[in-house]
Amino acid sequence: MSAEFGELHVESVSKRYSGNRRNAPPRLALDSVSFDLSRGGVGVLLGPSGCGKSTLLRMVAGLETISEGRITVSGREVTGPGRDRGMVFQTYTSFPWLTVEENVAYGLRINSSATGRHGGVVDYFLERIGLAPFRKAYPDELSGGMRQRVAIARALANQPDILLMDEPFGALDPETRWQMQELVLGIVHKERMTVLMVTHDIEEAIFMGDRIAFFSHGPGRVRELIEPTFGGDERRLDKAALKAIPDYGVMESRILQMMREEGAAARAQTA
Amino acid sequence: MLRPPTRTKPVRIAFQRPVSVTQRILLGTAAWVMFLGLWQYAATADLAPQRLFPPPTQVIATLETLFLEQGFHADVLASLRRVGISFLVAFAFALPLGVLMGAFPVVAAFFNPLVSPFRYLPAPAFIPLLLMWLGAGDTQKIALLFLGVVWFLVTLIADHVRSVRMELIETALTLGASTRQVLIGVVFRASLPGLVDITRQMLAVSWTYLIIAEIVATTDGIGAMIMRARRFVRVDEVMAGIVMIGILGLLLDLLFRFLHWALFPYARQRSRKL
Repeated sequence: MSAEFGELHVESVSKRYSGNRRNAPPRLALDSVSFDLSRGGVGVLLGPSGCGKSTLLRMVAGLETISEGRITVSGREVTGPGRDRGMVFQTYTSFPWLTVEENVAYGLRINSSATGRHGGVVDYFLERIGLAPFRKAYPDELSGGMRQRVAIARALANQPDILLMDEPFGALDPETRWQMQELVLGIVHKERMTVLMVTHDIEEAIFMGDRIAFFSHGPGRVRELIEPTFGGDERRLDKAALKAIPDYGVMESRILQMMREEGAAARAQTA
Repeated sequence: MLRPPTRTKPVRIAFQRPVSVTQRILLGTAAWVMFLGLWQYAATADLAPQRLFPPPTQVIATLETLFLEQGFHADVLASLRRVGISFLVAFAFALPLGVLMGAFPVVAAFFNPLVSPFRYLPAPAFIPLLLMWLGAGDTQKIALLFLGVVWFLVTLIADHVRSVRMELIETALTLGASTRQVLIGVVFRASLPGLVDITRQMLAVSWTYLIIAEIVATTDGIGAMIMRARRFVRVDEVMAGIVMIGILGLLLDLLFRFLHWALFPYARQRSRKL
């Protein structure tokens, strides 16, 4: 099968936990999930907590085993973690012993024997995330938003086929979160980077996503694929512009309604 | 009417209330002044014969005599050498084992049942065995000091390595790092500041085993000097020996604190955030 660079195919993927411990019975976490993205597309996995959206992201990253089905990125089947799939976590993952600059250069350093030749790439991404003045600082000296920017630049500087993000802005305050969303969209559109991200923030999903997979609960399935096409690029200009579009309100309340139904279903299951 | 000059703020006692640097220095000094004062008073007040309970001033004077006239520095160096060599060997043994146990649960599952019980065996209990196997020489003393710390080192290093955050490891993996690169470049590297702390703490333990090691059939070392002094009831020399051990222990502690500070600038407490 020929596939373009940066294409993601998730084909009927299931995740089963065998439940070898007494307090964890066997459980189907994901049930035959399919999802595709073409190069430069931003995919969002949205749904109530515990629906398996993070598990699917980690399977694409190669950090979780795939029980059934297959995942391919740029036509190559995922069997384990690799540099073609960069990941940004919700928690801060800057290496504390490296400076901002060394953190961003980490992937390039471990993947090539020649050192110092990738200065250009590192400089470019430091510039893009606005941390060039802090290149010699240690992560400990940075705010949460700055640290997350370092993590994003580190993943991008490694030139992956696809960027994976697991609730990357979840720990940030609303103002910083909004800035980060705009920053990341700006960069990935310019680089034509394919992005797959997990969030439980509906606003973030509509703002960022070209294609939103809404997950239902227990076992995780794609309940609905949503493509917010309204407003064109207008919708990504700023928060006010997005909220002013009437279609935004319609889509938001529809997703909110699905969230409620899933929540009620989850409560009924455990009751 | 004369008013007293401005005084430092009174020290107030409250849970978790921070103490200023000045207050800390004053309080610390006060504790020492009180301790030495009580000792000096008790020793000079004829509560006990001074030969058996000399005042601190005499202990200091004796320490000076020991260094200037009796070549005490040779004993000190012999003791430092024993602690140094035994600790290096113990660390060289414990480091790879501890790192592998901490990084890979499967390695820990194999070695833990073996290593854990050894921690509960008192090292001095091995003295008769070591004497029979290794004789009364330096090797036996170094072996005893080795046994005193090695199992604790393995366990502490393994525990510390295990606490390296999984997200750091997974981040490195998704950036294309190999198992070896993750083990050395992330797991070991992230553990380094902790390893220096563990070294500092376990050196103190090793130091406390020194006297036990040097009591048996030894002619040099601080412990041997103390035992010799006991035979002639030179209480002042015994005390001077103990004080010397304390001072050296404290200096080692300070040295490793400094190393930690100098080697890991990123781990320093920061008050400033950008």
